[in-house]
Amino acid sequence: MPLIQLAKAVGGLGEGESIEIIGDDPIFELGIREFCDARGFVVERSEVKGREVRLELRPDRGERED
Amino acid sequence: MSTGAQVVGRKGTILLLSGELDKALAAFEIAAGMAAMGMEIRMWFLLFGTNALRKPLARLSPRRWLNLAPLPDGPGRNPETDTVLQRVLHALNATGPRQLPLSQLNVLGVGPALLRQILDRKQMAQLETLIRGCEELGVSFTICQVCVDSMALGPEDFIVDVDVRGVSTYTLQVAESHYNAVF
Repeated sequence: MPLIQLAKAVGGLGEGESIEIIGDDPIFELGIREFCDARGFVVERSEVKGREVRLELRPDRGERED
Repeated sequence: MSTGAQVVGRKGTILLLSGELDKALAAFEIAAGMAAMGMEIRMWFLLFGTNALRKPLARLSPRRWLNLAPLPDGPGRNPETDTVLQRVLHALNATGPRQLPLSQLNVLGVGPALLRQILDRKQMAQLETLIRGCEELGVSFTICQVCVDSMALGPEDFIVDVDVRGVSTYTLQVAESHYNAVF
């Protein structure tokens, strides 16, 4: 379900916009990073506090570091 | 390592043959996840798999057992060859996600209720929510023409927009898909 909601939410992102998502499970971050890999997004920032995981995503502009 | 180029735009075909809740949950969970990741997903429904998409009708509803309205006459249907058996199937078949049994531990209907309670408690999506999610993500739903005719199904029987197609279309879709699954 998080992937479904995220797919719908990123569809509305405009140029230069980012989105912050919050999950309540450590495995959530892995799924989101795989989503970003597949759909061309970058995790700008990630924060983990206990079970809460906050991630900020933006469209990949091709500036990723290897 | 980026795998973006290998997922977005790829096609997948998922066929749901089973009328059981656990199989339907698996099929729609995978369909929704793949669609969210950028794949083009086509779902097919055969025989009891169509029950997952049926409009709900209470088990003891008079409309279910005393329905004398003409059977659907839409795409794929040949009403001239219908018999009373179509009405019997209509009445006996599960209608909608909340009437699907489990393949194991059904326990006269208690099993599905327990599973739904567990899903709620874990804040996981119920089958109805997954179906809506698939619809919103552009997953297509196709019913097998043979099943539409033999089970006397029409577009008005379903909670989503469906196509009616035959095995030739399924063959073409499977041939061009990177992922094919049957549940």
